[in-house]
Amino acid sequence: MQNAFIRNRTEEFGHDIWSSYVLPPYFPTLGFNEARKSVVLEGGRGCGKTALLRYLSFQSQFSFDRKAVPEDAFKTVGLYLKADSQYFSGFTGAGLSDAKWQNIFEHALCLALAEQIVGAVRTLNCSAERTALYGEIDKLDFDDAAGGFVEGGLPSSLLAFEKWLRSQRQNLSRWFKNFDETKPPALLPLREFLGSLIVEFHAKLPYFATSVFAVYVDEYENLLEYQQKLLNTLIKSGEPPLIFHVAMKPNGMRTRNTTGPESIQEVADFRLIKLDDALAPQFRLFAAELFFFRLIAEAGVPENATPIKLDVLRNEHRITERLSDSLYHSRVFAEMERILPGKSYGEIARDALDDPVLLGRWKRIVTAGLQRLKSRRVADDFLIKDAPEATIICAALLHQRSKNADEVFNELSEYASGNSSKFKEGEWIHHLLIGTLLLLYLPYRQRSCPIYAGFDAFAKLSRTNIRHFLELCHLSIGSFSGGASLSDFSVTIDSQAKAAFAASQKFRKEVAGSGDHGNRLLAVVNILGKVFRLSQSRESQSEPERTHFSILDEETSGAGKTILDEAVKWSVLFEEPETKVKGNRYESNDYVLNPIYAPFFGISYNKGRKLEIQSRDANTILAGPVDQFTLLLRHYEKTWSVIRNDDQFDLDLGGM
Amino acid sequence: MSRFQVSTLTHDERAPPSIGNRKWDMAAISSDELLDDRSKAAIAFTKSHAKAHFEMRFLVGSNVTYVNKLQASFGKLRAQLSGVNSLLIEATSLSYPELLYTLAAATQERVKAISLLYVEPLGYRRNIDNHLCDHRNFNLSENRRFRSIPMFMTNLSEIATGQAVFFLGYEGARLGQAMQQEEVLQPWRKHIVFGVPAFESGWEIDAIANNIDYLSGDDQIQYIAASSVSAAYRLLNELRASDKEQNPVLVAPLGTKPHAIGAALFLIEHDAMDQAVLLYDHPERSADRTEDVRRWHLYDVIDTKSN
Repeated sequence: MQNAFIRNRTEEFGHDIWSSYVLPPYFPTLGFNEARKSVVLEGGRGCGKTALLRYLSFQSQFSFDRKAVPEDAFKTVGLYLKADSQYFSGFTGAGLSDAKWQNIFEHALCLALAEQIVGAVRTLNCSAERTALYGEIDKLDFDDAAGGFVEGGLPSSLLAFEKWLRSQRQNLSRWFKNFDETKPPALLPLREFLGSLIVEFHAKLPYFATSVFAVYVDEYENLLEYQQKLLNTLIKSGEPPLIFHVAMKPNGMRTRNTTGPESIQEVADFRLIKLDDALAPQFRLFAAELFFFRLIAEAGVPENATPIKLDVLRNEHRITERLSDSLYHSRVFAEMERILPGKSYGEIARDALDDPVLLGRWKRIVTAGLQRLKSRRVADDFLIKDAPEATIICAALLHQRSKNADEVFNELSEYASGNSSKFKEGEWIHHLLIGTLLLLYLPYRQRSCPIYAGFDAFAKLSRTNIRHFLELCHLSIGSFSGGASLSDFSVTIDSQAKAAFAASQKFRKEVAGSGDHGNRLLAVVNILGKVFRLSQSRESQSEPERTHFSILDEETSGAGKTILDEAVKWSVLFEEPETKVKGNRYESNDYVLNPIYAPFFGISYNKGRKLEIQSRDANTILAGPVDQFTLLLRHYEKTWSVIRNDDQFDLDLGGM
Repeated sequence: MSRFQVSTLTHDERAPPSIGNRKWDMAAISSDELLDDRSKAAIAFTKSHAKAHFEMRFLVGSNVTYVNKLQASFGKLRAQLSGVNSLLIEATSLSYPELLYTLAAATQERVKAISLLYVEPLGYRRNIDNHLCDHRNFNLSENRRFRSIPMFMTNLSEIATGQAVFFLGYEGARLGQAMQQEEVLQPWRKHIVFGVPAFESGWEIDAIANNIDYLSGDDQIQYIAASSVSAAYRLLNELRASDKEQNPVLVAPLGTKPHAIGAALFLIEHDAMDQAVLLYDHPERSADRTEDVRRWHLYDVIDTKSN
């Protein structure tokens, strides 16, 4: 099982991912093969955008690994293009007008796509066997097809045309080395030039006679505004046989304008697909399938030792079967939960009461509550080891203003006797158990917290981020002898919880690398994490499991708005339509902190109660000076009257 | 044999070095107004030892170069150096593109003697009084995007996989950001260079600690004196020479200024297609980012092509 999960970026798998791609459950709903209109794929980091586009591209569709290329694969030929951000972002200024740059950008794009188009023919005919089956390459005449676009014409044969394309690319590079001294190379009009190549393919290559060429531009969000406008124009004017699709992070489309007077509209010009939303309902299943797929493909575990079949996961026609077979689901989840076992909250509660340190903390919190209530009862009155869940949450109940000690005691007695009580029927346990368990664990960061262990917890921590899930698996399992039998293998709760903390810490640090405002986004994660941790530390747990917020009074604008958009773009926060509207005052959407940061801050991975932040405070968090953060934390500490008892409560989280 | 020969004069005092009546024909200095103590000292020294000087400025957002506050093409920058025999480049205050363009123009104009001045600060501004930033995070700059600049533009998605050399300083986010923004570099063979010995002993620990999370077991870690232009230049040339397949060598000068000068010499020497590729993130420097002056370095560069 050596390093089955170490590769967690599509980039590490190259362009042909035919053999390693697990079809996501939403695949049939995408309808790319039938698409005659542009699609804008929107998705946060790690949700599988790049992998999907690479799967759809000719490198995978015509992969050498594919024994027979089915008829369907010829319907749409996918051309993948990743916008190299550092390269294209330099296409500006230097004494040239935007209009000139736009033509240069179009030319660069045209050359790259022309290379992709001929690459598709090459890849399809990658073996003698394939050439015998398809071939007819020598019939192509590129001079005849597109020679008119270039002074002096074009070479005719495929090989010579490929060389010519390479030399054109080098001409452009050479010109970039010496802008103002040399004449720019002759620039090609993209749509017309590529259109001519496609006409030639349709006419001369029977297997491409009716093919539509679909361009998939990845990382559209990295393009400069005029570059996005050019792509928007291509989206708007796209029609078979040449269509443009783009993939981007949320908030990645900075302009809807085209190079002309029109702008592009959703529905009329493109279909917007939100990949995170598409993946969310089946994420658990997909994550589990991917887990076993990796064990087989990367670590050499025999397929029959797992509940999945590689061929099924790679087959577009068997997705419905995967989704509807409940017996298959039970087998997959049972095996997953055996390998990555978790504990129920009840079990965690029971274990906590058997742990002298946690029990000690529970007693101190209960005693403080009883003192506050001026009750004559003692902590041991509330300690019923056979009713661990109810016992645990007494720590919180005895700090709630609306409760008194006798009431809690009486309800507890009822519950322990198996009678109806507010603990169960009144949903006290339901609302407070996770929050109170986290409260007990809060000061002990060096201990692993079992709440973060188990397949279900890993799925929740990952939300829809496959990379996060794989890293959690990688850190839990590490490297281990490939010869060991899978049926004897299971990861301890402790290793999983430690892995969750390590992954959380790692991904939190990684925020610093997120785009132009990475350092700021890291500061936002830190302050929000601390505020939620502070909320989590309130004994009463009257607002349990706070991990999201909304902004009140005024809409965020200026620098604050920029950072908020960036936070959503980089999946530091998830934006969700607001859950409640109170009266007629302004309240923003909900912003949920990415649950992967939960283990680091000791907070919940669930979306519990909301924190409403005044717009002034939101601006401080998003764009204010860092030295205001301490004041803000003090303010919350005061408002929530967080009591400092004898347990060290560490908000500094050392080393941050 | 390498094209450039570098000799170094180090002056281990706060006061400027006395170099007698040595005078350069021309000097290039920054027109940036956000200057720290050492840049002011360096500029004063440069002006007093040059018969004439011009101011350089490059704005990364618009890719526009200014010479003496007037917009200038690269040809105009070259014209500024036409007929000049000796040039002193004040490298402390010039940004990386400014330094690179000035050096490129000087070598194209066959300036016989090129010198570069770099003044070390006594300390960097640390931001540790609040605990929201990494303890070891020196608040030197806001992070910025990696973007290519005219004359040094390469589409990383279109070239062969090669070797990437990252010169690193204190700011961990920069390497992390490079690896995240340029995922295409994942399969490249990476060399990570730290400045050891550092300008002050102990600083290397900050650099290593801040970057450790982004290093992988396959990376080659190298240590080169923080102040050594020649060792940085030599390392790059050795990597270039040892690659029989002529794959690209990418250089990301994210560390000390002397390492960045070495990288600039390398980029200028290997201007053939995709042999030397620049990756740079253009950090915005904050005012008064450093304090005082520690040590002076004067690098004399002989371009064997011009002599």
